[in-house]
Amino acid sequence: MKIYYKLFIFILLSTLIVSNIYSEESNFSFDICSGPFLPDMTTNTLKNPTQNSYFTYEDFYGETGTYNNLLHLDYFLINHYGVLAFGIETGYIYDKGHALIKEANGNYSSSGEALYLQIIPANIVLKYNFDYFNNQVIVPYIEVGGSYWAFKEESQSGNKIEGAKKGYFYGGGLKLLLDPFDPSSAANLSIDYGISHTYIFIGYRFYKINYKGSGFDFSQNNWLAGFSFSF
Amino acid sequence: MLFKLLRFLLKNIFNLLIIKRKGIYFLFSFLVFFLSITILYSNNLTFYKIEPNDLIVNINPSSSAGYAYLYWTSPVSGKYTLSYTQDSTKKDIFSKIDCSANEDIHFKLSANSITTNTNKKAILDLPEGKYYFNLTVDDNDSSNTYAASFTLSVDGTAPSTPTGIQAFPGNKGVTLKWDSPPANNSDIENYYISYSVNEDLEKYIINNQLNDIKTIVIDGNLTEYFISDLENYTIYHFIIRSKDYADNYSEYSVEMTATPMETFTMSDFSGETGGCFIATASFGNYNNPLVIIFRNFRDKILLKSFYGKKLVQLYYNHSPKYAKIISKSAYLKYFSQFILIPIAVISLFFLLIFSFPILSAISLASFFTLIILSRRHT
Repeated sequence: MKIYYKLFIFILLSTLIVSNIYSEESNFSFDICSGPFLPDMTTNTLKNPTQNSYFTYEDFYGETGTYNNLLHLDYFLINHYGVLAFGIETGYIYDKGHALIKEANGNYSSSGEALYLQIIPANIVLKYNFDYFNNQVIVPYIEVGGSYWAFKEESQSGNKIEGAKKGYFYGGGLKLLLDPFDPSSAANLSIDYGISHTYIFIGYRFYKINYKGSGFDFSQNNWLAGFSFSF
Repeated sequence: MLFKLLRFLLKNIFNLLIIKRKGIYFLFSFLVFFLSITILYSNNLTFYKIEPNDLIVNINPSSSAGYAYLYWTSPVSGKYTLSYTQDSTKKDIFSKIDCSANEDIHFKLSANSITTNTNKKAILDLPEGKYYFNLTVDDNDSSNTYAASFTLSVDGTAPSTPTGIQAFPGNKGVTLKWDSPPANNSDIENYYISYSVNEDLEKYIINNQLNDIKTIVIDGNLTEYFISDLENYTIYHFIIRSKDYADNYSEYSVEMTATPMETFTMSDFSGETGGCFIATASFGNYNNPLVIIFRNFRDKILLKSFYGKKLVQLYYNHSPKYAKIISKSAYLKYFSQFILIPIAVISLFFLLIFSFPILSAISLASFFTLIILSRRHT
């Protein structure tokens, strides 16, 4: 049964791609975006036997978190009734913190040993842009995607753990068309680089990466913002 | 064949040199041109080896007025003139000297005179300040004069002593942090961190009892350093001093102590074991009872001993690649299960013994007693 599903999706995607190649509308968009990264993770270990609170991401890497920097490439599957796009994205997340030590009184405190967390997120995204009019200035969008995040946590003394977590995410946002604000630059971008539209966007995503699973749980709700170039 | 070729060449060269006189002029001109180019090229090439980097400057930290060694290798023969001044707009305020080239040129310089020094090291005895040097070479062979300029800072002031030192323990290591040097004394080239299990380190260093003291030299731009390869749960003592570019050393800092100890990472506290391992790949589930046995065996038995830790580390380094292969093949999964199930039973046996030692001892004693008694009856 699964093979029929795969075949159906393959034929559908192929048809849409071939039909779009001959379209005069934009076929691709390239996004560069960034947002905060601060997972809601709680560990399995109690901070103190008398209190019912567990160690969190912040206990190791600080309360400010870090940035989730992403590059995103979309292919427009349908661009007649809004824009349905299939995209891939990847990026880089880096955070530095400190390992904990257990003091003589049983409490844990930050040690002098640095901890480094590196994540390379890889997402596939299906995005629908509510883009119905020519040069529509504000374009809302919704998106859903699957995630596979490879991670590495390394301590300064050399302890290292690597792996990958699977999950999904969904979200939405608003894109603001910048072309009307500077028509001459927009025309130059179109002539020189083939960029038909430039957007600035802000969105919100609900990540469920290894949600409630064993080990690292990178689930979080966070916003992201960036620029989008369709060509 | 070879003989014929040789005879042919000799005959033609003879014709060129003796019979045709134009050939002699041509050959002579060519040789002169070739020699000129060689001399010029070699002069330039060797001369440019005289660079400021060839100067080795050393300052006596115990003296208010510094001294420096200036020496370099002379590349060409000729007359060397070294002049220096404290004001770049004026020339030759002090004095200068002409001398012939040697294999090694050493200059002894003082405030009012310069003389060559026959010793290996030359001494620059000048007050602190910045000096502009100019070196010219009058090449006797080609009657050309070349020049090179460089500056030299004479600094007899010790750099500031590192302050605000803090020591933070880590796993088999300690992070030392200290304040940045003040802006007016920021020409620090290196920090020297000395550490030992003995206290009063400075006393040991001054008395040259350095057996148990280790010293690390780090870059002068750093204000933090992680010292690794220490023993956990051992008290270490640390002192730091700085050295500037003129080899002046600061006083030693106050002594700090720290005790390295086991640390806990986020993965330790969240049960994260990495991506894929052989047991998980074989049984297809991280929460499979047999995988849980292996995990407990790792945490409760292996990780509590030195060799057990090494074994786990070895396993973690190599197992993911095999786990990947196993997870892709059903036959390999069955095969690895066939091997892992008996190991899991043995692991469970050891887990029970370690978890309930008294109960296990009583059970084993009872078991063996029953066997012995049953044999006697038969």
